[in-house]
Amino acid sequence: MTPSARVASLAPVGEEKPEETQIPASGISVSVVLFCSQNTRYTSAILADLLGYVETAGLDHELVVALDGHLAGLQSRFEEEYSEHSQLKIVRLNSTQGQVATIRAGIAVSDGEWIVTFPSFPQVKAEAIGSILEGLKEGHDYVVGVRDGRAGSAFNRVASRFFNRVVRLTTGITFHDLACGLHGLRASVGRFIPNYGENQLFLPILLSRDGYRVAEVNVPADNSVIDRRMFSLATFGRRALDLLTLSYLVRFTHKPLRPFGALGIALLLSGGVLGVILLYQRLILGQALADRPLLLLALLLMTAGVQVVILGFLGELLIYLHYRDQVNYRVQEQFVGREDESARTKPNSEDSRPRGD
Amino acid sequence: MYNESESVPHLVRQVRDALVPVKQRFELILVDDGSTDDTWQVIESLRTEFPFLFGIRLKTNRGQTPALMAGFDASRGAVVVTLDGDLQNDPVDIPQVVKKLDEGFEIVSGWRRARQDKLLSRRFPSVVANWITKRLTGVSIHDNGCALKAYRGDVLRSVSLYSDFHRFIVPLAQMGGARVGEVVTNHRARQFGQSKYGISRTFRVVADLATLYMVTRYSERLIHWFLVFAIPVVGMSIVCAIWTMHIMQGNLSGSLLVPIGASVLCFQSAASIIGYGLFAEKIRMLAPTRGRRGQRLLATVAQGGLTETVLIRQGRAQPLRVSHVRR
Repeated sequence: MTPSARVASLAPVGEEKPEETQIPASGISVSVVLFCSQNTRYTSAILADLLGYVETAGLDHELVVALDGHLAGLQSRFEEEYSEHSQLKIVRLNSTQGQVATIRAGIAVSDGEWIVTFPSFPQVKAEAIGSILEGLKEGHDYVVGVRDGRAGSAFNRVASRFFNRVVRLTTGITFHDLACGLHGLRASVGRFIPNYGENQLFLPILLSRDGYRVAEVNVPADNSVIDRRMFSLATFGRRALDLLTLSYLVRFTHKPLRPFGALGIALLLSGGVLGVILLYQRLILGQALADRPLLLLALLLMTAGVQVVILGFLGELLIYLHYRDQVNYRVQEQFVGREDESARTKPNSEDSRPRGD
Repeated sequence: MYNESESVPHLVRQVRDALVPVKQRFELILVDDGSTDDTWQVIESLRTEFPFLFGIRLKTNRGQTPALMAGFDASRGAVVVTLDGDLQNDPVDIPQVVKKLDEGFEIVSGWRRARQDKLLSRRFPSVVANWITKRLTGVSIHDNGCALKAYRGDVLRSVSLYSDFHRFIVPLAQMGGARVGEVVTNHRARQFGQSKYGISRTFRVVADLATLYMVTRYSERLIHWFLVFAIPVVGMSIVCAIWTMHIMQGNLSGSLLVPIGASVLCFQSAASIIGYGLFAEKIRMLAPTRGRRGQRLLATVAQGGLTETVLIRQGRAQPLRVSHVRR
């Protein structure tokens, strides 16, 4: 999950803040990434729409179609159909890797300074891209679209609200429409997208946690096709597991003993209390212990507690031995003392320590 | 520093007043740990007036350890001094702490003999934490919690910190052979703002200490650490087995199922724990012998009547840079 480190050079006195944009060498300022991993039914229609939008918007826009590995058929079809459109790029992963990897591929081949991801299911209309770009230009690093007037089955809405509520409770960040696939980001942020989760919706959470400025922007919903399917139980299960892993990772990557230890001690204590009660009943009240299955429960709780704590120690050991050198801060900006404006020599020239960014 | 915008100008000025007379080149690195107030703006505004000022701003508030690491990585001095961001340490003490290093120490810690904090909420947990730290890690200084410490730069930069380990810089360095000294320093009550740590911190410190204990005291015999947990469980298993036998012989009444079940349960648990222990040993065997920061050891070299302290890094010995502090 941790993005690869890179050596950050110290900003010399007077340099503009790293977030300011520069004129891109390729001449493209906006890349729209249409990503398709599972829903293929509406992809061509959406592609045609987006292509129209991009070509109307000007030569500094481009459309990147990112396809997952198994969609070779789509790729050849699009290549044939749109071979004359110079503002269109089609990229396909060589193997099936999932939604997030597909998006990353699309971002990787994008030349634009601003990148907007667009889902291959009708959620929003192409015009919404403009609102996203506005949000980005206001200075945010990552923008998520929130659909106004979204129609859908009641179950979907309830499930969605529940999901958002859980996200808020575990990570402290409030989102309103994580299922909307319309996201915008700066090219510089694109390098740090973690490859986590089968779904794009975790990215704003992770990035927000890392300190990037994430904002939401209202966009009109496209209700031409209403998804009446209920979430299958399997999907719900996977989302729940992902959320659990996420809430753990977001807080405890470096400190596994915390949750494991807390859980383990809680189990230990409950088992212990139960055991004391049982003992009391045996010794003081004379009730035979051998007939009490509750004893098994007490022992089970205690031993399970011990094992959970042990797992916590294993995690800590792993981190200490293998990962303690990982830099775990990210620098937003920094300045060097005035008297050292000349080249600064590195103190320990043998190692190249990664610095956070 | 986290949300300490009022303290910043005073701190910078006091540091300057304390260090300029010493006539050594120095730099002051202020690390803004993702403050939500205008701390960073204040730091930036002081740039012109104080040319020795370095500023680093972190993206999010990750706590003291990452902030300190950011500062250490950016530091270049032969000697590095850490200071509290809320003016509880008096910069006037900096020169004497640094000078004490020359007496043959790699780390010198301040000692807040006359603590000014509220008794229960801050001093008591601190005393408890200090005591636990001392017992488990063998640290011999009186006040490990004092933020004012001087380190030899090479030693400090060779210690990898993660999680909340900034509290354990001293024990970690001592593992590599650092010698620690103490100097009595002033302590001032917090002048501005709120204190940001509470009593719940003690629990977290204990958890981290347990980890540290495991990796330091038991680093060569990890499985013993797991045995510590496994043996009571096995004991329980044996007790239940004996109990079963008593019932079978008719000495005690009751069904057989529960005691047998209990015995088996405990045994299985103990077996798992030992299994994890073996796993841990395997993990340790696969650990890289030379991490990025590597194993740094301190040694003393004597030749021709002169002795010096060296830092052994990646197979080479390197003399520690010495500061020349004259009062």
